[in-house]
Amino acid sequence: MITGTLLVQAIVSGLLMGGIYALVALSLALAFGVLRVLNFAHGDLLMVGMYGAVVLHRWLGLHPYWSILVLAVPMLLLGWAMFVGLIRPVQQAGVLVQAQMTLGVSFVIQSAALMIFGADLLNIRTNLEMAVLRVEGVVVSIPLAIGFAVSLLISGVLSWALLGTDAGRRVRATAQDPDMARLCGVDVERTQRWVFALSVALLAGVAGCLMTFTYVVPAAGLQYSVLALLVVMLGGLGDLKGAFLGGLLIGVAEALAGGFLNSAVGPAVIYVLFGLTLLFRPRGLFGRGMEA
Amino acid sequence: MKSSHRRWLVRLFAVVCAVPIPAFAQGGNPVVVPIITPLTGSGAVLGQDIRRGVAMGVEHINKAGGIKAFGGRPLQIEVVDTQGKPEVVRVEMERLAVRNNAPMILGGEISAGTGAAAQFAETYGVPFINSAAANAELLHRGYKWYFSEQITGEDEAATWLALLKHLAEKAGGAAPKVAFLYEDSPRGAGTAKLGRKMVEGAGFNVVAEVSYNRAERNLLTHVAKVQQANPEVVMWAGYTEDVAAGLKAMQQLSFAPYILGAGGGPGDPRMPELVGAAFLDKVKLSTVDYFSPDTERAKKFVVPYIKQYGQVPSSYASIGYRAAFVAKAILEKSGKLDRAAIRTAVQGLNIPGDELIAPFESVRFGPDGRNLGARNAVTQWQGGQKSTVWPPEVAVKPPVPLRSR
Repeated sequence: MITGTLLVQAIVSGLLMGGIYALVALSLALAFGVLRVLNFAHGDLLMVGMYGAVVLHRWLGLHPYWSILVLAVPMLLLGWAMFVGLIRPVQQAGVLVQAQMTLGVSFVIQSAALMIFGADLLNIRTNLEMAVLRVEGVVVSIPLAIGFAVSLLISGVLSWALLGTDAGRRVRATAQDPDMARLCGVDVERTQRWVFALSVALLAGVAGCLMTFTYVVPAAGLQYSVLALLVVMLGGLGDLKGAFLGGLLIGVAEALAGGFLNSAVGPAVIYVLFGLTLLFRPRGLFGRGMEA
Repeated sequence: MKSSHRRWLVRLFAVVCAVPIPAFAQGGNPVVVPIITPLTGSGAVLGQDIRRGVAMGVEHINKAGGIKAFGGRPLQIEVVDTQGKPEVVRVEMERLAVRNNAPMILGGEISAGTGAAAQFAETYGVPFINSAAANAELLHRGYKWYFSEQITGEDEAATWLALLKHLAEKAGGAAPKVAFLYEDSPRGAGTAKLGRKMVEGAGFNVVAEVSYNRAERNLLTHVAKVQQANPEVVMWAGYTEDVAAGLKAMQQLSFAPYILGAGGGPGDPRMPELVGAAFLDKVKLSTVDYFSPDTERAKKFVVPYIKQYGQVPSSYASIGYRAAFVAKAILEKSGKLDRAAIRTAVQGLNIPGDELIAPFESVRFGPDGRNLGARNAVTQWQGGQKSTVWPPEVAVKPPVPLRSR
């Protein structure tokens, strides 16, 4: 029986989880908006961050939230290296080649993770893991709530940076029209390099938040890649606000469908939503391109 | 000797050297049997553990002299990765059966993949011996080339009911309200539906049935639905990842029913690390299992496994070890690598229980390919350790009572 409390519980859990999806999608949307490259290894890069958090916890006893700060730099460097070595050479090569390249990177990362860490589930036990807030019978997971807050914070900072700084204006100009931006004196390649590196660095934030309440396995990245791609398409390719709201929508839809429908149908709801959006709003919910 | 005679002798010698000598006469060549299992992908936890078990089984078999019916040739089990995908299972089965001409194929796959493999085996006439999947429905299809030495969902459901009845009788008072929670693959759904039918048939009140997709990261809403129905006992069929996520949700909701589990998930030795031993004790997490590491017969596997890997073997690892010994027994009985002969050997197989590490009475197959000697036991987490608590004839400790006095 569907009670009011259960409905609110599903919406709250879905919104909080959606905040984390939104951050994953935001970084993908940022990269796509500027580079026009769909990175199918995005979720696997997140998985690298999650394993990084596990390693930092096991070696140094570092809490996952602190690992966000430590991982941001190596993730930035990883993104930098990936752009220079793999993405840049195929940027003009067409969608299929880009997809093949990034899918290949995805398989390499998964295999490497399996070889290094094995197939076992790895998690981080913290005091915060089971912490909850109870409001009128609805349980709010504190780690999820913190993840949502981190997502809002990072989105806010990103939004301010893109709208209120010179660097942000250069990024937006590159996204809107790289040729015109070049003619206006913007170093387009440098901008793209930094944006891609930043989009990977952002995943450190997601990784740290996720490891406070879930586990990581070598196949974990694929789920997040698919989810991020769905959210980005739903929100409108390159639309950051759309990506954020798309993440929340997917989170709520997933929670409601999983909680109240027969589970075989549950996951299909997200794809139905996705299909309907493509049908009636092919440019996404907002479809405005590179707008914050 | 005339030079022409010498030339003929040299040519004859060259021809003799070029003729391929049959393998059985070469002594040391291994007898190769493939096993399909997911080494990568979402089922990798199962497959990687099975691979360890297989490696240890093969090592023990070969140290003890190999396959005697084949002149002491060593056994080699080729572990083939299916990525946990039925479409990859079909491709690999074709490669193994048609191109590699495997005499038989062992199964360490989840139920979905095993269905695909069984179908292929039936079409191409290859003996396929499943050691992992508990899906009972495959045994009702009338297959002639599919054999399952593993317990089935029907066995699990029957054991669930037997233990539930025992707990209820000991507790006295009103019969406990029961809820079912399960992952929605053929494995989880199959066991749960059979369990529900039996439990309701025995007069228990089932107050909720909630399923979920195994890939879901947050099971809070699903578990809240179960909690809402206020069951005293939750019967749960799941894998490690989803059971860990669900137990965490239970902790967050302060929901601590008595949990009777099924499948490798609830009994996974990693569970205390993932969820915390204290909560496992609180929910008296039990699982109907096909492997009890604390029994005498399991020691020959458990002791060296702990020595090598530093951890108690999971039930998944025991599948690999058991599969290796079942393969050996089949080869000893058939004496040939001919598929029809192997099938005949499988049909006539009778491995006594005390030669196995599983709590089986024996391995012997009925006309439908079911292992008539398959038995399961229930292990329960008590004080951070897994103990065998049911049936009484194999129990090391009694199960924790349903209601404390």
